[in-house]
Amino acid sequence: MTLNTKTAPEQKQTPMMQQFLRIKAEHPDSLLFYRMGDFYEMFFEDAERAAKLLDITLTHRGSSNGVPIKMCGIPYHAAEQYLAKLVKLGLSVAICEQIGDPATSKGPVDRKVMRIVTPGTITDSALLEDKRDNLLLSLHQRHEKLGMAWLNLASGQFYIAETSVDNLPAELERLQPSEILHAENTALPVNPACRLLPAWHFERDTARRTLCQQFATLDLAGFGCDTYTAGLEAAGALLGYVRLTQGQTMSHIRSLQVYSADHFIKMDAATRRNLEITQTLRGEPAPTLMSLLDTCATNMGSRLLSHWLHHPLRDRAVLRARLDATDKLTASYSEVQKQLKSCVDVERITARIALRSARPRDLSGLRNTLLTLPQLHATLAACDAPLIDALSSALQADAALSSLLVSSLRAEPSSVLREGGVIADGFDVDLDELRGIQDQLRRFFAGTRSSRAHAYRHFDFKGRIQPGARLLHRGIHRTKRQCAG
Amino acid sequence: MHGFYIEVSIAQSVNVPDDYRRRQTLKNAERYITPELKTFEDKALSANDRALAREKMLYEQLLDQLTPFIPQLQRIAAAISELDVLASFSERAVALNFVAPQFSDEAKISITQGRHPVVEAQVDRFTPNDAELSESRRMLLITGPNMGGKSTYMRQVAIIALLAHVGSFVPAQQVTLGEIDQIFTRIGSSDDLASGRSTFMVEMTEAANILHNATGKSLVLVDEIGRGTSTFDGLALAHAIACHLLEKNQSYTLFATHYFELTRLSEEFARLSNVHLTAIEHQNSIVFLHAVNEGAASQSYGLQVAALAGVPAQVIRSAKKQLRMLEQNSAAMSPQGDLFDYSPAEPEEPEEHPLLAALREIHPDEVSPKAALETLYQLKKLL
Repeated sequence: MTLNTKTAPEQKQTPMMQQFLRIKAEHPDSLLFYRMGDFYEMFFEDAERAAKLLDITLTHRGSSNGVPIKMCGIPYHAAEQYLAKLVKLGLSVAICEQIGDPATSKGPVDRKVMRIVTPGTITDSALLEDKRDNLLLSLHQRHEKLGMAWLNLASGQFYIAETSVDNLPAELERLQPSEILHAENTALPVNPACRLLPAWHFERDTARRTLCQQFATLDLAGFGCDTYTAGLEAAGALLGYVRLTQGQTMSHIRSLQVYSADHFIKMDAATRRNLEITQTLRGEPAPTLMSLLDTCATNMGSRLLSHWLHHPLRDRAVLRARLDATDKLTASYSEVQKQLKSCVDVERITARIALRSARPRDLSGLRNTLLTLPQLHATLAACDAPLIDALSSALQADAALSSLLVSSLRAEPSSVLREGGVIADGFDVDLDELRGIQDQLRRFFAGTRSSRAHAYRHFDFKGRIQPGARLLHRGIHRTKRQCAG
Repeated sequence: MHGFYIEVSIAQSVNVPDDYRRRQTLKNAERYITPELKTFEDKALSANDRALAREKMLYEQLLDQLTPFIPQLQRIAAAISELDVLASFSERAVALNFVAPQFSDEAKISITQGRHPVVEAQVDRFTPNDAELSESRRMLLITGPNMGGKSTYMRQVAIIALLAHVGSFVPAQQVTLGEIDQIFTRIGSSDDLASGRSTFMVEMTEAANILHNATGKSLVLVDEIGRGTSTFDGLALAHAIACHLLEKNQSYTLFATHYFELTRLSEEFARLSNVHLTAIEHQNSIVFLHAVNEGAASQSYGLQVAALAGVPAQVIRSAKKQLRMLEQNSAAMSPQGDLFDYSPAEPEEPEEHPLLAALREIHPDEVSPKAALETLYQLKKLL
């Protein structure tokens, strides 16, 4: 996807094209969605590629060295569905927004890549699979040792491990990562579709610094992974990469957990396939152990079940606690499942809150779920199992949290913030006043003769209006921000 | 004209107050604005934009205020997920008739009336089977007809072990498990086409992995090892691999094979037990019983299965003939029963002349004179 600009000196390009090429040069491995007004446009090879993959019309705009510049575009409000398609195909997309004000800009408006959507770092519910964890894996080889780190950005779980290179196929089968990172100077037997990063991203001191900064700690001793040199290098590179793609702090990634293989019954890649745990030998989702056992009420439950099935435990105390809880739930599981059915995906919504991409409906759903927890408590009180007790007490939400969500959000907020109608009435005086004006206006034009009379009175026009006069309104156009580029 | 205005009919327009400014004249009406109206218009029009900006700001603020609650929300999410899985375990246990497994400190895998839950859900009637492995019974050598359920039986043992270690109830009447550290399977023979490795290469790579890494606490399933190479190579390898698993790895092993010669290993190793699946012949076809019994199978029913699969009767007849010959030969060759000490092959019986076979096919009583003549010409050609 790298653009060959050597043959086309920048001077010959329009200022906008120069800006495009400059930004594109920073993201050679991603498609660049270049915002122009209400569209994301793609140019040159990006355009050719995207037009084919997305089945959209390839056109051109202006010319570069006398050759028309290939271009295609998608409306910004429909970007999600196209992104989903591209990410499924394993591509990454850099999203470049207009950050300046077109009205006041001389030349092209300022633009900046605000985030990069990659297969392993998606958190949008439209892009994620509901019942499958989406993992980003980073690998770093040091002699015989293979350092591994993997992150579930949609939950914040971050793991580190070290193993031998021989073990890689089994680990790939276990984790089924959506995207793999490794240093460009190492050759590992993995799918060529993985992303190569410059070797210095895996450099030890950089890695430590990146990690300590994330966790706001002085060192990494507290995580018990001080001896994992290769693993830490992989983890540092991973975190740096994710930070770059998100353009955001990631406050939900709060620790780095050591994955120790000894805690689990080990299964090689062939065994995971042969037992048809989550996939049949033909690669289908059913009939499998998972398809038979998954009667979970929430997508969070389905994802955890899939994880458990791939991670059989050796600690019998934990197993006995689960068996005991399962046994004690026999009388009440249908009630519990009924109540869980209404729970939203708290795990992923929390991640989106941390990444500041939570939608209004995410938050209202979260509020509704938190409000049902007391009822769940009551149901669980009848189950006399230590594990259930522990889970039940973990299901308490702070009163401050619930009341914040209750007081700030409308009962049914609109789905997108830019349409308004999200924040509850009575939460903010200024907003209430602004809405009051809108309401009066709406009533005035939509209303009957009597409400119109009310509006006259209110605005103090009444005395002045002569018989036969009508207050009218015509042609208010919403101002459109168009950008010429 | 944009915005708000007051429209007054021409007839009334003489009465408008002084502060009305005329903006537009139509055929029957005049349109005016007033300073108050202009102010209201500005306020009304900008109110929408300002309200949206204010909401956006408040929403951002809300996200900030939620940030300190992230650890709490993560804890709640984890608890909901786990509760959900446990409730689902409970529901499945009742719906599918699962029982709680027991864990033991003894080295054993003891399954009474176990089932393969996924297969069970696909068929009308599933035959449950026991599986007993212990310190003194480390390997079950499984023989029996193809399609008879060897592979399902082995998988169900692994799946029951897996489910127990996930914390789920299991599909059986009773299950007691000793400590298990690894599960290995060498099943199936799908070519790894992508990497260009042959079936046999894949098979041996997986076998090598098992032989190197399986321990006394590992559960090992081996299905039809040696299939991908010539008969004697395959038999020799299967024999050696079984011995290594018994002597060195000492894992809990389920070893399915179509080499009946291996069943004699039980004479050599006390810790190997033969079990078999059976089928009964019924009107020239066979019915699989899917029940696992102690002891070695008496025959493989390979030809019957082939017939069931629609292999032409002619081919089956010829195979039967060949089988009889092979069985006679092998009985003659190795009377002492030693697998690998073959006496030099006896000179082969001279092949029957095709003319004799053709003659045998002729039934003179049923032949018309014309056909008899044609047959005579054909026989002549065979000379």
